[in-house]
Amino acid sequence: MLCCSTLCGCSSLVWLGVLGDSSTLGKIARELFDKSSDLNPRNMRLGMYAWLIQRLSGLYLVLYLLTHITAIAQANCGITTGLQAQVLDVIRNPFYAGGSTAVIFDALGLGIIAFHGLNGIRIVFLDLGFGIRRHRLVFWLSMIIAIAVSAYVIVLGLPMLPRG
Amino acid sequence: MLLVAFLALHLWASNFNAEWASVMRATVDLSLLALALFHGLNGVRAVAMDFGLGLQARRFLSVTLVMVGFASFLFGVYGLWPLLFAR
Repeated sequence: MLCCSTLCGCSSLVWLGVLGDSSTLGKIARELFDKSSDLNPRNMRLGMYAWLIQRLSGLYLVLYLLTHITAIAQANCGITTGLQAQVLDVIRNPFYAGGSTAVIFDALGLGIIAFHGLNGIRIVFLDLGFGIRRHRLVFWLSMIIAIAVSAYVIVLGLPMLPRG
Repeated sequence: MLLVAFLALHLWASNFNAEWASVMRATVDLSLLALALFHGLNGVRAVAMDFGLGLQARRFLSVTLVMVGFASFLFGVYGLWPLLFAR
């Protein structure tokens, strides 16, 4: 494990150097503010917004997944002290009231997971050639299903919240 | 699709059903861990590639992500071990 993390650290250092050489940030700025750019809001319609939100939620979910793995390890292997536990505590308590639940963080994660999953299913169907002519309708349909799924999971999970 | 099915099973098994057969649980949780990590890190790779990276940058990105993935998988197995296999 130590060897692995050392290797990761070294390669990420080199990786930072590579990023610094190419003007990735300038490229992003040009993409965003150029009038003829696909990412300029005046050129964006529903499908493009769906694509963008799918990407951003995917990047968020990667961080969520790594946090989730760490939190599970923390809970199961008894890492309850130290900086790691404190950081996880703050992450899981947006209002940091002390010993409360992770409702906001988990509900946000749930909604984003539902969006990402249902939109992903829509993309699979579009790639297979189904529903291309009605892709707007399919998008809103999958959003309704995502909201329904989130609501269902919230209703199932409500009894598990501690009282008071 | 498999990811969504496993995700649903995982939510159900970890929150609403404590008495599930241990082998099934281990199978579902570990495959979900591997699939989700691969999907997520491959997604990061795709997003980064869309910004037009050079060959060297691509290679470093891929190698880094593979190592992060393996490390996270091992850490996930370490975290899941007491839940799955301890009696």
